[in-house]
Amino acid sequence: MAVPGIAWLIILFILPFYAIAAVAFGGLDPIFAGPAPTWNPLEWDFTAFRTIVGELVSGGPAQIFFRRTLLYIAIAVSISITVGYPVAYYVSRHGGRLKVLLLTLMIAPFWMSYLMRMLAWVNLLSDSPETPGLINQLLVDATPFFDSPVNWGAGNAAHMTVILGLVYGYIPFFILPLYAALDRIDRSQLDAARDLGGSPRSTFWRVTLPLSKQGILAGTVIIMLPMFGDYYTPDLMSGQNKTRIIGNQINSLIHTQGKAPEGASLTLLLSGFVAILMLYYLISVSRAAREARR
Amino acid sequence: MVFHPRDPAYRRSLTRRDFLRRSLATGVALPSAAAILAACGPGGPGGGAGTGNTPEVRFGTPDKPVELQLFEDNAAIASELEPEAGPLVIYNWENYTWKQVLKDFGKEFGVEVKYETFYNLEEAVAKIQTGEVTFDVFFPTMDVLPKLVAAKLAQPLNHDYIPNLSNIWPSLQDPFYDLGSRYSVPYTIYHTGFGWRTDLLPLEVEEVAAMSNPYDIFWEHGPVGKTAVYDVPRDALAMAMYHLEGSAADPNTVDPAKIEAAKNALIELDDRVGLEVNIDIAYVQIPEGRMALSQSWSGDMLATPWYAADPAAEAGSFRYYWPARDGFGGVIDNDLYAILKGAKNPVLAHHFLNFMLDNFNAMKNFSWVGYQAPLSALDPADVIANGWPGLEGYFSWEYKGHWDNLLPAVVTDQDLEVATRFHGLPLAEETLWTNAFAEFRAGAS
Repeated sequence: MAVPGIAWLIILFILPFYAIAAVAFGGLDPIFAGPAPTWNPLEWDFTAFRTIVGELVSGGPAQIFFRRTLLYIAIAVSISITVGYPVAYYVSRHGGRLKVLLLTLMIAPFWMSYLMRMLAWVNLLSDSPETPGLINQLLVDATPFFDSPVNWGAGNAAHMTVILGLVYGYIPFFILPLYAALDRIDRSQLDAARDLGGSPRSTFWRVTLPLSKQGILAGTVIIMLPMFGDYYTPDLMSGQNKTRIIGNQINSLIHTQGKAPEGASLTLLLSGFVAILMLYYLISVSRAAREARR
Repeated sequence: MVFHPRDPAYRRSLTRRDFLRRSLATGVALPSAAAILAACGPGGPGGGAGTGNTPEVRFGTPDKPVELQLFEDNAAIASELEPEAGPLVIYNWENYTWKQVLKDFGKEFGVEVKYETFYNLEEAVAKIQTGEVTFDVFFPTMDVLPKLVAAKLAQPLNHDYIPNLSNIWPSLQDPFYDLGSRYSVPYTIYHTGFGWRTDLLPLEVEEVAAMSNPYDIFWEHGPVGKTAVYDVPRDALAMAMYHLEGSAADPNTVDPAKIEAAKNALIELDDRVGLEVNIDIAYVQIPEGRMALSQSWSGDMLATPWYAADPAAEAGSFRYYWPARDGFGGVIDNDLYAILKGAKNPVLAHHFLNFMLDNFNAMKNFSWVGYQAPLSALDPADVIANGWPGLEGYFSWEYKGHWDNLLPAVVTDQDLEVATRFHGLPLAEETLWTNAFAEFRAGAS
């Protein structure tokens, strides 16, 4: 019975992880300085790994990328929860017969490729003097606050642009599991809360929100994982040094002569960090399941 | 120079002694990776006979040109062979050859031509190394070519099939990185200057040329949020070196202090203007108005009219300047054609090289790609003014106007005399550049 699961685990997790470790702790092709994986763990060389750990400890590039990535993702997830929760709540509670239609409309833009959607935003935000994007046209023509188009990809605005790009790119994947969790909440529990004198607000805070916690966690995990690996959103939306995140650095290292082991080492460290977050999620799910059985 | 496996020089093995000496000194067994690396270095055993069966990565410099090695187990094809039936497989950057020219070749030889693309050279080499997919013609840079030769992934050329090599500037028929063009022929040539739009940065070329150091334009006039450099360590850092040291700068330096200073200059610039660091900065972002001032390969700048939303209104404001012409130093680089050892169609591949070196075909390709072949017959001013017979209206500077403001972006053979050439560096020294660039790219300040 467990064979498919074990095969899945080996093919899609253990083998790739082992290959990354073999590159991280391996050597370099003597001619091209590309990665030369070392498959025997007894022969692993930890020089590149130590370099990256040293950067993390001493405030080098790895630490800078890590801190920036965490900040961006924390803000992007917070915005996703703030925006996504009311949307999921509205559809599950008030969608009625239109639920399916609303969900379909919500995810319709996401039938397009991620790349195309980001490129569309680049055009919408364009500050080209000849052909400004729609957003800049509206800001300049319809508001009294802007005399000229804003360069959304530069300066401090670039941070906001990249974060909003991350939110836009991943928010449906937050809303869908949250919607499912909200939709599963037994209405009789809400009715009971109201019968016991709870106001709509206290019913939400004391019943709905706790019961949807697993949906929030699931949605958060689902959008956080790809955000940690994202590198094209900052590249497309800004392209500036100050908006690069850890995925950009891994991409750069892997494509730089002689740096692949450092790129793989950074990947391993990132995986370790994400595993800690996943562990928290699994413990939380397990605890919730135990409480539900009581 | 035509080289053939039957040439007596082919059987000499002088460099093997060098190699043995190096290997014994380091106490390693033969052949080993360490020995190959020990033989690496600018100039390497420059000027040697270039034969022998122990591979060495030889980086030439203009002062120490190199003959790339020939190997008994990697001979050039014989002369007067019939071309294969194809399909000929080209392996190149995306959009770096006009498919119409490929179709022309296919039509002339009655074969199919496939165009496979790579994202970067590391990826390309990795795929070639696996041998799982075979390509016929590859487009390496001059620092990758010696490695392809040492790894026996490229095959020597038989010049009997490539008479059109004589169409190329004489200096590039016998280049420092591959004396005798044993393994490569030039594809395109370009210098690294900068481009800007006068509607966003109101400076004329004369004003820039009159600056005490034109490279200062980035530090003194770069508009905030609209200034860009290439996402290429050597190019970006070299520009900062020219800014700091003027024409005395050495873009091949391995002096850590100079590389560190260049990195700091880039960081300072980044802090002031918020640099865009990308590859499409010149040919896409300048014409789209997203950038006002950008480091620019000359070929990128020549392509800009194609990318402008309204060329008739905008392309007249595009400018390009390469400071080396006025004595401020600058870099020229060229890309190459090579035929891979695993090619299934080596004769056809030789014919392809010859076809692409034909003046008309090379100009036709230039008209679409924006990057020019170093043709002796190409007179920039004449071509910009009058076009090329049979290609009227093909060029970007003829697109919805006449953009002779782009003339400075056409490279001439005189430019080679005032330019510095990048050359390959051994890994440890290249790492000085890549580490410095990585720190700059972290955006820390």
